[in-house]
Amino acid sequence: MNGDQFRKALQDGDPEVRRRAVVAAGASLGRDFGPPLMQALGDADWRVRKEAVQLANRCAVELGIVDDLVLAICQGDNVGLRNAALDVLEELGQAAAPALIAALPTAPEHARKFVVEALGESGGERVVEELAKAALSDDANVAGEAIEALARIGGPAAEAAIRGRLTASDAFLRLAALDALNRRDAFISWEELKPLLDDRLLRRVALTALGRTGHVEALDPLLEALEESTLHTVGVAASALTRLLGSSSEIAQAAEARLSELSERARTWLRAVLASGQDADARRAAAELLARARDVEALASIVNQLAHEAPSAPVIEALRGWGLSGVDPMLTLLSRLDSAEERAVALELAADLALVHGTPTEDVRTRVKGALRRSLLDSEHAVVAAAARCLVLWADEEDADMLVGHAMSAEPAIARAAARALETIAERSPDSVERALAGTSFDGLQGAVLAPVIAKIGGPHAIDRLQALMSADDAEVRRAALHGLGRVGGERAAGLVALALADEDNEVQIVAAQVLGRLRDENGDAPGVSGLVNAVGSEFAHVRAAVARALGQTGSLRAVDTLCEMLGDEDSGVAMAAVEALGQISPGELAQSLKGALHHHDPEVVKAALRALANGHDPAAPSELIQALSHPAWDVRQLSAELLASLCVVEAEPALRAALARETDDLAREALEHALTAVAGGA
Amino acid sequence: MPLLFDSGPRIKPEEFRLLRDLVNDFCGIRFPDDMQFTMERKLRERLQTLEINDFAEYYHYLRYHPDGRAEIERAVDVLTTNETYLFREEYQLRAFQREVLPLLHERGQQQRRLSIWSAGCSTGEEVYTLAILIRESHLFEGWDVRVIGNDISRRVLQVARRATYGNSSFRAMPQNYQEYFVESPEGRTVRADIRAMCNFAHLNLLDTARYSVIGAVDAIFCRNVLIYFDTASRRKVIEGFYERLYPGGFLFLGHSESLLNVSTAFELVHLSSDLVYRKPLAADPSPFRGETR
Repeated sequence: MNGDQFRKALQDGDPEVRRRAVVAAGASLGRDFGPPLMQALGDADWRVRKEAVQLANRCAVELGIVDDLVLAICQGDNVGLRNAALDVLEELGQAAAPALIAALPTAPEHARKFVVEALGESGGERVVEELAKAALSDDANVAGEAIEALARIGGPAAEAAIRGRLTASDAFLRLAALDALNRRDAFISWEELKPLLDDRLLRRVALTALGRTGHVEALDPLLEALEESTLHTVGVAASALTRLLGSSSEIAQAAEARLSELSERARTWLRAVLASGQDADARRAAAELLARARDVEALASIVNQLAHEAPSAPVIEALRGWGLSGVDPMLTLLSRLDSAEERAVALELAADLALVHGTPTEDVRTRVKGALRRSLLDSEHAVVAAAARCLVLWADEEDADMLVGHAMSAEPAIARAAARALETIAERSPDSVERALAGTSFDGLQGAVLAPVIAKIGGPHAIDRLQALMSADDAEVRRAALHGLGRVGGERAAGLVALALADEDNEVQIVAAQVLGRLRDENGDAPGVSGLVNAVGSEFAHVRAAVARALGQTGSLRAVDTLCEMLGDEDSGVAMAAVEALGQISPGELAQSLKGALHHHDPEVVKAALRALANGHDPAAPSELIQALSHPAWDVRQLSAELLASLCVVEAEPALRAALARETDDLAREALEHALTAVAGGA
Repeated sequence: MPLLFDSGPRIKPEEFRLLRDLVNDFCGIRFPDDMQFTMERKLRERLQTLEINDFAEYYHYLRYHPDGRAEIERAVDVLTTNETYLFREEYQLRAFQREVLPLLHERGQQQRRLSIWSAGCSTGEEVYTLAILIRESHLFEGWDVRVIGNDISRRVLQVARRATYGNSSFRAMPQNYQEYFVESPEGRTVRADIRAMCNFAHLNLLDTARYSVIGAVDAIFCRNVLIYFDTASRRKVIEGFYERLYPGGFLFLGHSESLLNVSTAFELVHLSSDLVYRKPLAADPSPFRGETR
């Protein structure tokens, strides 16, 4: 198709023929397609225009029709053409900016708004300058559009231009500027905002900005706004106020007394926001303020929110501020609640509040313990799990029997929490837990749950029990037993852990390796080295990698030879683990040890070795890094340059220059240039 | 010839030889030439599972496929007889309980530790039998007692850990040991306190370098396992056993097995109802140097 054919086809009365002509034109683009494409952009049928917009997005610059597009948005006769041209100009972005800037001073009044709108998609320093001028236009539409466009572009210059319009004589422009800065989350000083608060039109938008001032003076207007008679304004003020309180501890402190004396009217509004369908941010803010105001009446709603929505840390912190005074209201609420999730939250909060300021009185202790013990018998799992979690801090010897029962629960959350609580008791009174466990079967997954408890009790029985768990047919139990053996330690435990290196389950082998890596005897030596060395022949790469890491963790020089051999492992992951392990052990001649890795086929392994050398400040690091500047992989060359820069190896300068002269990769060149600067600075 | 033998891929003599040698290198087990058809029949299921058309391709899979090593384990599992039972060769066990355990008790007074290794334990019956005998002796209460079983097959180790057996496993067990088992829906399960004494390891007996995970032991039971091994592999394994045994430690072989032509490092001990091998008390740390290869 040529230009004439294209033009002719656009004369056809059938819109589908015209649409297809645009599609066909896209397939055989000619230099003379500009005018017919403009014609298609102004076609009476929207399907033809849509196709034309897509084609123009691809080739407007090439066909030289950008000026025509600008003219098209300045005309007022064909609205379809204007909108299509605007779409294309916005899509062109920076490429359209010069033509748009040039058109701005001469564009007809009605069209300047569109020119500005299109400029907003361009960005760039020059565009911001032009938009800043447009923002000062006498035409409120143009100025408003310019403020919008500047907000979309963003950046300090754009924000400064918008800020300048906060004092515009036109209230709508002030509103546009304020709203634009809010959307940019830009800081507006208290001094700038103060005069805007008296303006009824601007007040609500200004309240949002007050939250970002970090100024104590902003407290008053925000607290006052909580008494205003619209739910939305109270929500906005609440959000801003919580943001302000979070900005500095001084402001939070200053607000504390004010919030405790919060009027009943403000409280009522906040409770209404909390119970409303407003956005989650406003409801969370209301909950936080009511918690800070110690509003007992709102407690049920706050607990409801915490139980059913994502728990908010500031709300919980605000509730913790109640301390002991919150325990009774929370326990009272607990007794009234139907929802299991809410009971769980109320229980955990009551238990936490009682401990937040240190040891509670005996009376409080008795009441909380009573609630926790009753909750352990609750029919709902969520409540039992919450009680068990609390007992991690609250449990004493008397609870051991009951907790052992719960550790046997089929519900994992309950079993795990109960086991953790038992660990706490075992810390203080191992005998009581030992007694409670007497006659308990460790069969099945309960063994995995109780393994940490057994380890905490310690003593010879612990090893016997953990050994028994090592014969379990469930690998999870054996893994838990291994962790337990690691905590108990000692020669016998080390032997059992070493045996697990030959477990038929790979994950158990991995845990065994990890535990052996951590184990130390009474002299501080790692008893697991020889076991680990014998396990490097595993057929599974992830096991070998775990063994390599564990060898590194032993810190033993006896592991070095084995790790050096592992550098040649065909699996890169294993070689990487060996590099890291050698770096951890840091044998005297690290570079010599890492030789295998420096010549590995996988660049990632080479990079790990270079990093290990550099991090260890090995004396051979500079020469190895200089050699690596000639590595076939660009990323190795780049890293070598970066490491030479960070180590500031002055003598590397000639090698860096030579490398830069032959380097073809952009990123590697950039690193080399930076390294040369760094090295020159060091010299 | 029954129809069954004609269905599925046939193993050619050269394929049999290649597979036989591969298995031998892997785990020391040597299949005699008359095993060709048995191997063909037993491995057909593996070929079907892997959707492999012939034994040449299967050999290639074992050698070069990433899962090849795991597949050799499965092949060995299929090819070898795992069948064992509780209290097998009871006369030997009686000798162990009545004569060897008291000796080990006397010798271990200071450390109060007893380790027994059931090498090639298959589904675990021997491991639990030994643990029951130790418990029955009442000599080791309060001691650190471990009975360790190993096998090359992950599948049989899972069975061993479950410790639940059907009637055929009990065919040789004297009635008075019933109390060590509890009834379960799948059969009879070894009591938890006996299971607690037993641990298992996935270990190829030919991989002697890894024996160290077992630690030092007082006695090794390796009964009716080495009969499948060639002489070189047998020597290697016996050398590994020697290294693992404490001086004075015992080695129990099957009634038809001996160390003749394998090792002279052990001394033969005559018990009232059996002959066992023992590592000399003043043992040479490396008596095998020059002997095994």
